[in-house]
Amino acid sequence: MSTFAGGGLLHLAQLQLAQGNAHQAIETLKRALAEDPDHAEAHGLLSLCLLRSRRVHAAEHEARLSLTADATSPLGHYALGSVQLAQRKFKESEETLGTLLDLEPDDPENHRAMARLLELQGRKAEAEARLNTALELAPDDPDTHAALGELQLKAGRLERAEQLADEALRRRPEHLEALVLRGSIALRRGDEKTAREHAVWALRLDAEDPGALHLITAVTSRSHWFLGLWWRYSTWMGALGTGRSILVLLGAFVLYRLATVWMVQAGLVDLARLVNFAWLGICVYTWVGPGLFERSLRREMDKVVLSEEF
Amino acid sequence: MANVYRILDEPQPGTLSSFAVQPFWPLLGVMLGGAWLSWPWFVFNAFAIGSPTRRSETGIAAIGFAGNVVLSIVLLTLLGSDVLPSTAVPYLGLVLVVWKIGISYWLFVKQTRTFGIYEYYGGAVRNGVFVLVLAYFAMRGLGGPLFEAAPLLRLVMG
Repeated sequence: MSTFAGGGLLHLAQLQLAQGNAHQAIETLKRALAEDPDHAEAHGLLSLCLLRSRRVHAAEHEARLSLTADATSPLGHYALGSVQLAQRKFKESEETLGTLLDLEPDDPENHRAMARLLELQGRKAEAEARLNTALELAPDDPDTHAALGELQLKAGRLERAEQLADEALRRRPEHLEALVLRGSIALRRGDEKTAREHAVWALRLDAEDPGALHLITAVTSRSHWFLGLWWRYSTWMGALGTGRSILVLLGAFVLYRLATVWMVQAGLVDLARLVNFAWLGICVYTWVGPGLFERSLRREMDKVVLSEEF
Repeated sequence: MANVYRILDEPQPGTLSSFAVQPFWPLLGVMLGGAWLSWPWFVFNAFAIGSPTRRSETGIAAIGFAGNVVLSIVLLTLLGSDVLPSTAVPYLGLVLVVWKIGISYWLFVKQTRTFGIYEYYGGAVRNGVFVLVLAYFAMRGLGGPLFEAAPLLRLVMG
């Protein structure tokens, strides 16, 4: 690894990322890398910041640069594994995270990363075992408590999830993931007020946290069916990824056109007209949906007073 | 001059950047004007914002036009050969429409990613509505008679 004069910048970037300010951290790391373009850790950290900003392609590039600079960099492996996870390249991610665990078997964060992968693959029991290992390594780590709680919530074990969220919050009262977990549990129980309070609290700490934004969105959607429908639709499309969602839209369009052409040829002109109107309705809805949803979300976000740290 | 580290997906806007528009406008261009307006506009915009993927965007547009030519020739040949019944015509036409929409969405999605970063760094953005209005009236005034005289041109460029 090359000598690095910008250690202060790296530290600053870590701090900025920890405070949820990925955009600022990116700028700081660019300054650091201008000084030393071969610094493995800076590339690895930049990869994580880019991933946080959903610039997945660039994040992969930076993670690979990190490993080119230092093939044994744990941060480089962690970043690449996380990027592959985001790209849903599960097999590659498992290999990378496996190497990471060989390099650093005692870091609970690495076990949590592997648990995230296992959970996404539907290997819930293995994910839980992995989180229990992380807990054994660091029994007081609130991150692991929150991650385990999240897993329990998804399994529908609300009581246990609540216990784990409380454990995390007892160790760190402003633990972001635990606050989101607490809010999600409340929402599952139908307590929208508590859920909203926890979401706002979490957003105060990090206004860009995906979990907190997801929670406030879920709360907002509960009270407006019109927006709720849009949210479910866009969540589903988002999970499909860009390529597949375009294929789905094109497929829907083809079906619609085939149906209307057939109807007209079969003499069902009125039905074809009705289908045309329905399609127009869907187009208008998907056109205005994002704008309305954003407005509604902004109204919620206006209530958030950001913490000074953020 | 101080060294600058550039991330892979960051645009490098040049002198054309003052003509950059939201990728949404060229997408709308395919609906209101046609491929002749939309795809070259996407390519121009890619160069205007200095997109790192401008070459692949140019390639996609070229593939799009090549596909248009092939599909249009096949379509016109089939229609002229009396092999297919007249009821099949609307179904066949659909292939070309889906191809054009698919290419346009592909370009749109690709350019939107870079455009977000371009905007984040304070890049200038123009309103594309004037180009659309101009193109719409040009289509009605000049395009109509031209396309009627040349059906292949209409299918490829429309």
